[in-house]
Amino acid sequence: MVGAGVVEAYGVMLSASLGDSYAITETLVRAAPMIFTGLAVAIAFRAKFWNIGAEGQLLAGAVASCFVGAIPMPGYLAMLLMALAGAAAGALVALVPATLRVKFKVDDVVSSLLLNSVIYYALMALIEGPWKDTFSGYPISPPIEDSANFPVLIEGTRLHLGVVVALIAAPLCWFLISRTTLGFRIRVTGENPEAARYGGINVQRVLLSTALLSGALAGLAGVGEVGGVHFQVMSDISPGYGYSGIVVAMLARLNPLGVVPAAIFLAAVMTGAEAMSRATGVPAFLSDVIQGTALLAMLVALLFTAYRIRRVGASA
Amino acid sequence: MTIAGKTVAQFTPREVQALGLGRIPEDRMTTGLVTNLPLADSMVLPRIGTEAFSRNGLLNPAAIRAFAEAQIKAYDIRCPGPMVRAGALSGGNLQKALLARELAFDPKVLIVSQPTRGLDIGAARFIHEKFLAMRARGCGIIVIGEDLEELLMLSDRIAVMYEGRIAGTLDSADATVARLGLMMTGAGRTEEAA
Amino acid sequence: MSAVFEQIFQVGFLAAIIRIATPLAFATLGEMFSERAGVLNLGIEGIMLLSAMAGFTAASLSGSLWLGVLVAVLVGAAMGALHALFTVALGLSQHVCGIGVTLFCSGLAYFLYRLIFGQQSVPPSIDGFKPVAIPLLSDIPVLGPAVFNQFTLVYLAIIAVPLAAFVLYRTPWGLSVRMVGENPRAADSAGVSVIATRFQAVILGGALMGLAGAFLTMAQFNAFTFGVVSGRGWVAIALVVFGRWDPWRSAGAALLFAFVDALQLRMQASGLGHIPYEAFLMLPFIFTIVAMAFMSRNAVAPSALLKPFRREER
Repeated sequence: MVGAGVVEAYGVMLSASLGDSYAITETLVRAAPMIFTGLAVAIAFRAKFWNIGAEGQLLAGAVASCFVGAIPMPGYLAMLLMALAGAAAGALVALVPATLRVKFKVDDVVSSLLLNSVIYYALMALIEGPWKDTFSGYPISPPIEDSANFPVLIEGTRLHLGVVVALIAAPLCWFLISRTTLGFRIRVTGENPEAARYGGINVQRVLLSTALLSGALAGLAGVGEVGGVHFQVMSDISPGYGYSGIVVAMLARLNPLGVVPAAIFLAAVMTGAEAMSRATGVPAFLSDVIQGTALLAMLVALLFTAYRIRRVGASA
Repeated sequence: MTIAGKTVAQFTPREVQALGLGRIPEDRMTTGLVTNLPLADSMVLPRIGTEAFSRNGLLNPAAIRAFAEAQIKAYDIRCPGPMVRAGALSGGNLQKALLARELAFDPKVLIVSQPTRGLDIGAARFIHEKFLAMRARGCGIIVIGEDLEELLMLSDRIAVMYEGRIAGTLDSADATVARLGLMMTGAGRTEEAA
Repeated sequence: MSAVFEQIFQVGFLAAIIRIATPLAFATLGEMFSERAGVLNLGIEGIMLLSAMAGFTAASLSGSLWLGVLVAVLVGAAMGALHALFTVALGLSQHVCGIGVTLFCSGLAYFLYRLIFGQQSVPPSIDGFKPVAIPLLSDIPVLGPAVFNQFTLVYLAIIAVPLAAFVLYRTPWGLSVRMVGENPRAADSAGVSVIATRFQAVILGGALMGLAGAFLTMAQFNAFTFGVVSGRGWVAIALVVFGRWDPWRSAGAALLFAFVDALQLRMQASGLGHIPYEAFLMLPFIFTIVAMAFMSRNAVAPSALLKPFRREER
């Protein structure tokens, strides 16, 4: 892959991710779970609750919503209950590292990472065991009811209702962080827990609330994948959307409004890399490399803007 | 210690506040303020949950801003505005901001630690004047500090701590730097006994 | 009861514990050196994966396993240097940089692996390390065949533990590492270069994580799969806390985890076939989380952990 090949490859990448309206809808479908996990991480990191467990919370949300979605009931009721169940499952999972930190001083990074493995194996045990789809015999869960499938918004695409919910969730989270007392407490606790405590904020309660909120958002990412994309649970339902959420949140500088473009950017990289892989044979894992690089590059960029501000501040 | 008949030792910071206790911590930058957030946020921090600044869990940004602006004016806090990063202010202005935040709600008792350490003379005098004005309005002020000149000038009574206990209490009319100094070495108790 | 006892003290079971503990011991010691110098390295999971892949590739292409080990160690050290560049030289958030390094390394490992080996139905494998019996010692009943008829890398791990303790507690460099992790300001005024020492510790840590990766693909599995590390790096971070940042205790923690892991493997194999094996795979992770809950209250991390050092800040 040299010279013209590179240009051609990037051309394929771009046209497959943003080239026509279908490509754009595919990118949006990809972006939706990362908007949710990005919001989950952004809110958690604002409070300096180091939730690296969005992946596990997403999986828990997927499992819970799939359970509910398989129960016959009117479509919109099913969708609502799926969302509630998924959010609740994600929130409960996130509560574990937060509680361990508050009660036992367990490092939240380590516990939330380890919990990802626990949830993943639990999901695998479910779909290999009691929950295995008897019809297909594959290690996948039985599908949800057809009536519970999220409606497709544009005929001929996979653009589903969940994508719109994700796009609405971002400004809601922004409002929560910047215009509510909980958001105020989250920001102050994250910036300076000592001043927060001194100022009468119950820091432990803020951390637990943040965890519930963050986990619920990550859980919703799983709900969208079950209700709008896969209609069942399988082992690779998330290609690491939980970890991508960390990249998204950092690219957005922890601002919920910035999460949307950041998630769309990463989604475009992913869909583009897959198309490029099909066209040129370059492994699609290129998108994972780009993600890691983007995160590290963003951190360095942040550092240099911080330096500039400091220098401007000093000379003023 | 009691405020209006209630013992405060076992209360959380929030409950103590509700009783009318204002506090200005020794370490402004780490305990008092949130340096990376706007100054206005630090100024309303202890009262963010009250009707003055929020309702039903929603913030009232206009009220927060107006409060901060009013205090900036009243206390002559030198800064570009209420939305500036608190950490960008000088020590004297930060101290004024903390004072403004505690005095704005008429505390019954105010506890201040090292109120003018590291400040220039102008800011220190300003803060002393505020204390005297508060005292005139019936607020009890406890100043914790090491600057004996300052304590002599401000206080009605001075208690000297030695090894974690109050070694003795003097009316400031009787107190001199030399006497306080002696008590601070632990000699106070024997003198009192004599 | 005695049947269970017999089961546990079978030679095969003891040997399995040693084998499982080996990569964990390397990784845990690596993370411990890094953290003792004040740098949390969440890149460990990705560094292990990339080293495992690089070592496997080098061994597979050259035919030399030891060259593979060398490559894995060098890659680990290089990625340690990358993490140090971001967190020590630039003073960026250790949490986020570590995650960035893990994402970058895992992506690169998968990408290069596919680029070099393509997509094959049966993953390519190599002829990995063979156990080497140590004369006399391997004749000791039970203990001999379990401990002294192992891969050379296992012996290396057994030597690495006292060596790490010696380096950390008995050498000037070890003292510097502990100083920059506890009180960098004091170390600085004592003439120790905080930046250089931290760089060295994180790079050494990365090299040890590289050894851990090498063991996985060249002794334990003899192939590279995407799940070859599967959380062992994260476990190592927990084991450092569990081992209270001490080489001996960390090695003990690795053995304890390996015991639980070997036990769950036994449970998988023995007559509980109707329970999906993944249900057993969770157990070591749950065990680790619970153990952390018991241990963390009294755990005292190096004081300067997570804190970047800048000289001008007073």
